Amino acid sequence: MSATVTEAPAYVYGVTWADGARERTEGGVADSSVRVVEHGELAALVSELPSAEIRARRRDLLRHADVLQQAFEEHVVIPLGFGTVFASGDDVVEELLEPRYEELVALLQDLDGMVELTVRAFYDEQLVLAAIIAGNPRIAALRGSQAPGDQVRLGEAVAQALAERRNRDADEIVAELAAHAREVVVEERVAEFELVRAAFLVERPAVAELDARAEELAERHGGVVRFKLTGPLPPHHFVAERWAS
Amino acid sequence: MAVATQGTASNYLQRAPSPSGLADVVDLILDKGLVIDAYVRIAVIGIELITIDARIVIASVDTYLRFAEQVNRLDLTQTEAAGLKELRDGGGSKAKDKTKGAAEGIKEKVGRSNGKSSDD
Repeated sequence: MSATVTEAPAYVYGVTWADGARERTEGGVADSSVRVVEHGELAALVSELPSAEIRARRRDLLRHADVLQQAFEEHVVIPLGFGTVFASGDDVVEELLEPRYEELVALLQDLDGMVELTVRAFYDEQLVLAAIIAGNPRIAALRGSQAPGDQVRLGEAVAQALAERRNRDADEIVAELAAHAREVVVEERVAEFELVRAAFLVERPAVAELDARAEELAERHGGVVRFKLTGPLPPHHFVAERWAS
Repeated sequence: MAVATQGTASNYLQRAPSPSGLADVVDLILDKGLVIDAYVRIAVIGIELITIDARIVIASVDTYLRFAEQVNRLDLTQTEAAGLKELRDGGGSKAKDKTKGAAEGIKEKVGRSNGKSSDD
């Protein structure tokens, strides 16, 4: 289709089936177009760069994700990490699509029909602390105490109660959502009042199920926990491990 | 997409069909996806500032005092109803008004903690 021979450095977004891969006239990193480099059944989504030494801007990160997201609406796509550049379009074939052909085909087949959903959950600080006070007479009693050492004891008790509650809630939330997923990646929490940061690999027909379960969980926690559900996304969290193994 | 229109609209569940904003995107593409031995990898200059280092609560007197202060400051007349109701039945109509904008608050917190994370 478009395996034009060029010497320009080639930025690679991801790999998908050649059948259905679409070019884009704009919207790539470094204000480039996105073209398709095919090899057999495979296609790499590629942008030619003016130089391999381009400096990545915020916009480029967003565009990398956007190109993958759009391609994903047509077909399964294997996302590459941001910033992968080959010396030329030919090198994309010779160094990636050709030598790793069988593995890439197997990976695409394995992920066909699967989507990634990410879920993050946070406590409302005020509401969870109020619930902890209400459920813990010792904390309620220590509250406002001026006796020496009491404030440290209070804080320690709160930290402990919060950690226990967080572990319990997080386990429950992940387990319930995982019932609708084929695989789960649970990531380390980032913020103090964050309790879930996880990605779920889900078969397309099960997306609505997981969504409904998230809705149910959100209602059950009544505002003490707030949820953010993103997707369907390309399987960003689920390719590296498969590749390595 | 399908996800965005499923179910009834919960005030406590925010849906996004695709990553919204740079922090979400960074989460997905910076250390995810296939990493291939390639000719060159573009250095992501300055993006370190927004990659989010884990800042888990470290058990320390400072943390405890901060929690204590938060708990002391808490106005239970504002939150008690929601908190108790939540304990009782997991619902809480008062919570809806109370928690509007909480997601923004959290975002801001994450942002602030990032700045500090290099000292940790």
